[in-house]
Order: sequence, then C-alpha cells, then structure tokens
Amino acid sequence: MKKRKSKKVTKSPGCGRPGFGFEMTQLLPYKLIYLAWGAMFAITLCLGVYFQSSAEERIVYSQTHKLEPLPKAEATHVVFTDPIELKSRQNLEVAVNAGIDNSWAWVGCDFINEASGLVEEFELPVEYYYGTEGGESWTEGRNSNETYITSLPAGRYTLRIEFQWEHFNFPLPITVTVKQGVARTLHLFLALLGISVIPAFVFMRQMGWFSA
Amino acid sequence: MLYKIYLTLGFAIVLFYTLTAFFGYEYGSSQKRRLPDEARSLSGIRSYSYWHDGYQGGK
Repeated sequence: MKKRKSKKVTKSPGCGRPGFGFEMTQLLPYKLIYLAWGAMFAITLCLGVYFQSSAEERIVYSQTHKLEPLPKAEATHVVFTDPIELKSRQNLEVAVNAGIDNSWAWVGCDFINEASGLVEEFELPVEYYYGTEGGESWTEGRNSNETYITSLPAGRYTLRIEFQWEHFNFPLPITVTVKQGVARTLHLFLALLGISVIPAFVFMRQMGWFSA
Repeated sequence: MLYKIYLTLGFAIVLFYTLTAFFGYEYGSSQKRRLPDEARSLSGIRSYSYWHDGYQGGK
C-alpha cells in the first residue's frame, strides 16, 4: 500500500491561496494603513466642509478708537464697550489694527460677564518696525494682530480694552474687531496633516527612501 | 501592530478635530478668572482696580 505523502501547506493570514502568502503578509498592513488613511481623510474633509459651511461668522463688535495722547509712558487708556451678546459653542476672533509706525502698541482685553463673574483675559501686542541696514531694507512685525478665543458660555459680556503705545504723547487710531463663529481652516489642515504622518512615513519606507 | 496604532491615533485626531470644531475650542493663550464680588458691587467693573497693569514692550 502506497503511503500518501502529505504536503504541509502554510497559509498566511488574510490570504487563502498557498504560495502567495509572503508578499501578502508584507503588503497587507501597508494596504490597510492606506485604506484607513483614505477613509479618515475623506471623513475629516467632509467634516471640515460641513463645519466651514455651517459657521455663522458675525461681527459682534467693531470700533475705531481715536486715542488721545497720554500724560506719561506708563499710563494706559481704558475703554468699556456696551454689552455684547455672545452665543455658546462659537469661538471668537479678536483683531486689532493700529496706526503705528516704527513702534509698538499693546492691547489688553477682558470679556467680562457681570452676571456670572467670569472674566476671559488676553493680550494683543502689535509691533511694526522697518529700516535699512547695510543697504538692505528690512521689516519686522506688522501693524495688526489677531487672536482666537475658545467659546464662552452664552450671555452678555462687556469688553474691557486697555491701550498703551510707545509714542504715548501722540494720538493713535486703533481698530478693534470681534467676530464670533469663525471657521478655522487651520484646524482642518492640522487634522489632515496629523492623519497623514504615519501613511507618509510608511510610503517613504516602502519606497526605500530611508535606506542608505 | 502599526495598523492598530495608526487606527487608534487617527481616530483620536478625527475625534479631537470634530469636538474642537463643534465646541469652538481654540488653543489660544487666554486666561479665565473669576471677578471678585467687590468688583460687582456698587462701583462696578468700570472703577475696579483689578485689571491689567499695562505693558512696556517694543525694541
């Protein structure tokens, strides 16, 4: 009686066909990473488009203040705005544009909710310098600045704005604008970048870009 | 292994972005504090000496 010779077949995970396993086990994790990346990229992009299109951007305060000269350098000019109605779950963009020339201005702001006692404090320094050195012109900074504030609980807020500027003995025109519900493309870009780092690394490794 | 790590990390990033956009979160440098009771009394916030002390910046 002839003994039947049994041939041991090794099956690789994720592949039913013998003899095909080695390549597949090598490629499968990469393929899965690319697939996951594609899905997450598409989801994030859709979310981004949704958030960008549904953003209800509105200007809640905009005023040009013509600041009179101050008696001394350490002095500040303080302004309290009328109460501003803020909605919840909407970020804030505060921008200042100062008529400065080779100098600095400083703007300190507080959103004050008198009912709850909550104070949100932030600063907006502005510096703009330029000149010529060694025959080459240079500039540093700009005469505007903006910052983004996390959403505050809904309610009425008074904005306290404090100004100080280098050429205190001269008047200074300065515009303060507050927007709410500003769409943030930067966050979308950072999220897309974040989910693309590992696939990019895998791709570069696959291409052999890391080998000497 | 790398796939699982990527899936976890990627999901966390997408979730973080969604929550950030939904709740209007910002990575700014603002500070929250509470207004003392005396600031909300008769004199009010307009006269309260509790605010910033100004800035001496520039070159």
